[in-house]
Amino acid sequence: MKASGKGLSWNIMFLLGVLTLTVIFAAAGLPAAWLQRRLGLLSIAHMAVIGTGAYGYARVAAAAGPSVGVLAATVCGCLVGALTTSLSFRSVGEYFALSSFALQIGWYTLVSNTRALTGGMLGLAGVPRPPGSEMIGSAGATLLLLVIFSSLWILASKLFSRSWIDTGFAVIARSGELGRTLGFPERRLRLGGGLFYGSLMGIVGAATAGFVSFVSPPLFDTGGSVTVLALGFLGQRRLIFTAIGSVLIVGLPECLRLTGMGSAETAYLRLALAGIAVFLGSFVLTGKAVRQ
Amino acid sequence: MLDAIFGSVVLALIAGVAYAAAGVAIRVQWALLRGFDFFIAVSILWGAEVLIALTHRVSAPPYSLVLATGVTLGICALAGAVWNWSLASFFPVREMGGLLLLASLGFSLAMSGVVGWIRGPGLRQVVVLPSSSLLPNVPSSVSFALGIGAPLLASVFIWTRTKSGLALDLLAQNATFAREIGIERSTIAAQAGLVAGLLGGITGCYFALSSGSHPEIGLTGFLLGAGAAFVSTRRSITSALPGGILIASLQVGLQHVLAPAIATAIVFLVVLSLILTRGPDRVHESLR
Repeated sequence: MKASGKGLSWNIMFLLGVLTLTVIFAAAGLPAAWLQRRLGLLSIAHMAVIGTGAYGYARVAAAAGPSVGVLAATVCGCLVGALTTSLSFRSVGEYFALSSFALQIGWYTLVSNTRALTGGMLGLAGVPRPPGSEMIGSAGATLLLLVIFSSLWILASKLFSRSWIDTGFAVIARSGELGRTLGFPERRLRLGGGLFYGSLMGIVGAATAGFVSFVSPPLFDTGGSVTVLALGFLGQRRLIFTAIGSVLIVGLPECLRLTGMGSAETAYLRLALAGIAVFLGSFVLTGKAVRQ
Repeated sequence: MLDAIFGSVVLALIAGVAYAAAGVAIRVQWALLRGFDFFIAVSILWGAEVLIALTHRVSAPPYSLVLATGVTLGICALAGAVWNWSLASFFPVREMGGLLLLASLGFSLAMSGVVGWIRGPGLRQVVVLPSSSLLPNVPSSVSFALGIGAPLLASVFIWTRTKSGLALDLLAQNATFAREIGIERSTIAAQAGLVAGLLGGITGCYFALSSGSHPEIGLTGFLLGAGAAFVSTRRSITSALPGGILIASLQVGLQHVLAPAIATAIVFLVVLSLILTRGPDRVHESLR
């Protein structure tokens, strides 16, 4: 009876973990969808931004506490987000996608080999839990952090959509030259868009690091980037599709671990599903937008 | 000292030929479809994984490795022909570009995921390593270089002298003129796919035989191939050949002074800067 009670409790903890992971990816899909829809940029370097936020949180939270850590993660995310969109100064369309892919690979290799700062391939262990964990538990605090900041971020993006900034984004997404001709500060808009995109990505990084209590390069590999890309891709029309996609691409494979599947196999299954989503989505969902 | 220099030069040449193969394949697909085709990443992955799987099945003398490589390259070439034929049959060229990038990237990642799911993570290598030379009195490294380089040079040489090869090269250099004189991409799509799949397979076989393969090898190989394809500003398909040698020489040279992983990171940054500098030039050229 006691064992069964323990089993039930373990299952609930497991499902709560799966839910948290699903929400983490869904939250990461929001800025990815925004970047694709507003700036027309298809990035494959999402995990470089999230990962920098996570490492920033891990380092600063250990020294100054989780709240300051979240702030540091936001700043780190903003900086790398701006770096990502600054690639679009010189490359657009598929060239941007390819250069962001090179950025992701370069970031991964660099982080894996700077042991003094990032701990190398082994990463950093003992990362402090998110703020509020002592009261509502690690998963609860992570979920609360993500829900609050995602809601604020969506609200801010709605406010943007009523200003000239959104018009500027729409124009430079079509053509940088047209934007400059009409008097929009193209580079500043791209950088600003990157800062806005990176802010939530950084917080997602902090949530990830705090939830799993360690950071290592495999958490932020190209596979993860593509999963976020796929979720952003699904959320281009309606943000709710990002959440549905996250349940299907991230949640369901994680649940298969109950059948004894290993975590590495789960990650590859997630990658396969994300790949299929991008493949089918490119034909079905956004034909017109993709051509543009 | 001289031995070390000779060893490094041979190493750079072998790797350079492999990167050039991927670069030429990327250029072939670019000429035909006007976009980045990540199917090359799939053929690199299949080239590496099929070769490893075959050598795990048959453990025999070194010539079985040649046989397994032949079968692997055949599979990759056939897959390339089918892929190009499907693309050319169903989609007009004006709809390519972003669509091709996304569809092929999705397909490539799905393949990486499926391969990783089936065989698990980590590095795998061929069972029969090319340690003993196939040619008498020839060092194994030179034999290996010949084994990788000969099919590439032969296929590029034959390709550039056939009617289809010349037509594709003209498409690469001036698509409008090529269309004006009646070159239709649908007629050469399957042959171009055959060559691109074969070249991607050669790069995959190189990775399988040298450093081993992992489920993400296709994407890494694709990026290095893109670097090789972008070094030269010439539009000819074969101009990726010196690019591959240059990228590999840089990598091998840097590995002498820095840790291998840092050297690889620097090479990726060089590839990134090449994409950033060459990309807009091409866009502007095509606009003109």
